[in-house]
Amino acid sequence: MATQPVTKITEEEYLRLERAAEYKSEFVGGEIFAMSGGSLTHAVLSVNWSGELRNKLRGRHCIVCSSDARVRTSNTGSYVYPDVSVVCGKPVMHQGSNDILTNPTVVVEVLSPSTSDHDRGEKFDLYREIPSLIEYVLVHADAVHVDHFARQSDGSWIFREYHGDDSIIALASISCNVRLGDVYADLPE
Amino acid sequence: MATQPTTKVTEEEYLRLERAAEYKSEFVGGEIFAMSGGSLRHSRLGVRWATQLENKLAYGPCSVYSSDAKVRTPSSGSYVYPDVSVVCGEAATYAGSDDILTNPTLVVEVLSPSTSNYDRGKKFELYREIPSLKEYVLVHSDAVHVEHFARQPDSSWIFREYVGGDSVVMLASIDCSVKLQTVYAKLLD
Repeated sequence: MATQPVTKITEEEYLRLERAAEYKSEFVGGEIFAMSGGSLTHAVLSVNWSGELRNKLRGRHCIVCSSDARVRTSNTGSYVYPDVSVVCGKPVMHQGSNDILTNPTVVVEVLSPSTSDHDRGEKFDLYREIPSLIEYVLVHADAVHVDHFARQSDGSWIFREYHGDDSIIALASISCNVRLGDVYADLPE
Repeated sequence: MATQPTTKVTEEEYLRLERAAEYKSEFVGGEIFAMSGGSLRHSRLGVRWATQLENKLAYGPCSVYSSDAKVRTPSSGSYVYPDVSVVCGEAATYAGSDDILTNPTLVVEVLSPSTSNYDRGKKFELYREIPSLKEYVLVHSDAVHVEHFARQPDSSWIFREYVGGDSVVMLASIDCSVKLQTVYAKLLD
C-alpha cells in the first residue's frame, strides 16, 4: 500500500536504496512510495490467489510469484510489486538482474480502500506499459467481487466483473478458471 | 471536483440541501462531497466536448446536458454531476423531478490530477449501475489522451485508449466520431 512520496531520484538510485532497504517501496515518476502492510484479509486473499493459481499451473511452464517480485514497466521505467504475478515461459529480467521482472502475463492486485481507485487508475496505466501483460485482476477485499481486464490483439481491453461465490473468472492467457468461492473461502471476519 | 466528505444524510436530506445550496455537491455512500471548481483548462475541455456533441446531435433524438445536470445511479442511490451527459430518446427523471436524470446514454468526465484515479475507479463503478449507459469517456487534461469504455450486450465493457490529435474516438451509441484535434486544439500549448 503506497503512502507518502519522498524525493525525486533516478532508477539507479532507487534500486541502490531499495536493495538495501528493510521495507519495500515502489518507484513511479521519479518518486519513491513506501509500501505499508495491508489488512489481514488482504494478506490472506493474496495467498489464496497465489495458491489457487500455483495449483492449477503446476507442470504448465508458468510460475507464480509472490509480492516480493519487483516488476519494471518499460515506458516510464517504474517499479511496482504486484500482489501476485504469473510468468509464462522464461522470465525476462531487466539488464541481467535477478530481481527485476519485465514480462508477467497476469498480475493480481488485492484492493484495499486506500488503493482501490489508484489500482484501477494510475496503476493500471503502468501495467498497460508491459507488452507481455495480458490480464489484470483486481480483487476486492470487502466483498466477493473481482474486476478483470483482458488485453485483446487489437490493443483494446475487455473489462468484466465477477460477483458471488459461484462466479468463475476465466483467465484465458493461462487457461485457468478460478471460482470466486474458492479464493474467498476462510477469510478473517 | 469532489473534496472532503461531510456527514451522512439520506437522499431526501441531500436533495433538500443541494437544491438550496450555492455550490454543487455529489452524494455517494450517504456522504456529501462538495465539488470545487476545476482548472480553466478543465473548463474549456468540458465546453469543447459539449460543443462537439451538441453540434453533431442537434436536431436528432439525443440531447446534450452540461455539468449542471444531476444524475442518479439506481443501485446505490448516488448523485453525481458528469461534466457532459447525453440522453438519447426521452430523458427519464427521478421521482417526477425536473432536475435528476436517470438514463444517460453517454457520459464524459474531464480528468484532473485529483480526480483521475477516482473517475476510473469508484466513479466508473457508480456509472455502471445505470442500465441505459452505453459509453463512458474520460478526457485527460494534461495530454491529448482519451480513455473510453463501451458496454457490450454481454455486460462486459471494451476499453480503448486514444492518443494524439489524429486519433478519432468512435462513439457508437450516439453514432458520432470525435477527432481529438478538434477538442484539444491549442489547449495544451
